[in-house]
Amino acid sequence: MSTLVDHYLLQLKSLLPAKQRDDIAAELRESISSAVEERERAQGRALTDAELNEVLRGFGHPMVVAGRYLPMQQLIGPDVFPLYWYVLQAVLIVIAVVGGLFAGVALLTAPRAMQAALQVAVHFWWLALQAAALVTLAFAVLDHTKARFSFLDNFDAAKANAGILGVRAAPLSAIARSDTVFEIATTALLLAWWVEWLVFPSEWLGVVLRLSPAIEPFFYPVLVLCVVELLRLGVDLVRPYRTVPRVALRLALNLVWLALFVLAFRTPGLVEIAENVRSENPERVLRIAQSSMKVTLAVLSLISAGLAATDLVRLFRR
Amino acid sequence: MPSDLIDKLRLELRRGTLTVAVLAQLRAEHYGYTLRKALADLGLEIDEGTLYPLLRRLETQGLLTSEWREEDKREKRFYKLSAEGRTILKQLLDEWRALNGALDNIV
Repeated sequence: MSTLVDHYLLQLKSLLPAKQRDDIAAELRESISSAVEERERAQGRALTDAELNEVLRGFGHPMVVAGRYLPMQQLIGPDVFPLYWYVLQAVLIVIAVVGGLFAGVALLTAPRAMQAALQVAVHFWWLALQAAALVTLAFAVLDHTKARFSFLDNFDAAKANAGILGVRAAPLSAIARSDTVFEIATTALLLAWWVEWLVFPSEWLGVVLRLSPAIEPFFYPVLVLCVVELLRLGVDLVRPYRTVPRVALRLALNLVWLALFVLAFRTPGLVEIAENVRSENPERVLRIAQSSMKVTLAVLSLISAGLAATDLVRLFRR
Repeated sequence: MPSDLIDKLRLELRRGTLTVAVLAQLRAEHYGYTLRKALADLGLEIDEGTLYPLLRRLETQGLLTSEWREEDKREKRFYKLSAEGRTILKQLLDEWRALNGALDNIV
């Protein structure tokens, strides 16, 4: 048989599982021989390499053919994929927005603006890759768990309507899943930064900044609030409608956030310099960082107050 | 793209029917090449890259049995329907007839 066929089968064998390799190759070799013989009989002569190539093309690319012999495998199946895709986009958008803000500030304030913006971009690119890997891993586990315990198949509408912890409550209105996913992404990012799993870049300012000990009284309240928020948002994701207890819970949480933001706003020196890398005027950088922190806290206070007011209106309208 | 769409829909439509056709044709023993020819002669074209992996899968599922045997001075792998395959084929054909009847009524 032609070396063309030998090469084809060798390529195919390299992609097949060891146990089946020889058996599959032998069967395909026989099939190719039969096809070649039939064409040679019809034409009354041996096939040219071009004609033999045509026969092999009919069998398909070795990688495609080998892939069809392997068991069907998928990391994330079609049931879970739409939510995975949604969450992945939300996480990447939140990181891109935060990264964009940092890059913008770097461009406007850093001594070597372009270099600083590039550093920030690279930092957030790695962060986005890590986040994408984590989200993918989490959904792969979810898909595997679903396949193993088939909890999505055992859906019970009566149980799904039982509200939180079995407390029945009439739904007030629907919650857009996009809102929930974006809130989860933002809260997860805040939590990751708060427990210092995630470090935002500040070297481009010429100094390394960190939160000062003045932040300590806020550590556990913020940690607990983030976890409670994530649990609440998890419920919103599974049961995407508002009920009175859930609106009341969100209202209470936003009031606590508001109190914390106001207290933090009134606390001086939340940021300090951990290391002066190359800044000629570290005091000025620190003043800018502290002012930025104040502005951020003021904006967050307004957002919390706005959300609390919205929930209050929802409860009164009921 | 309309042509892409029709290709995709055609593929979906063919996927299940190919399995039924292969099982039905293997009520009589065949090796891969003659099976493909027999199906093509009856109007069902199937390329080798699809047929051989399908035969393996059906054998792994216990619906086919196979053996290597010499014919025309060449070793060939012959396939035929197993006892379990016969039962499954009967159920699949019943299902197919019901679907076909329903579809006839609809269109």
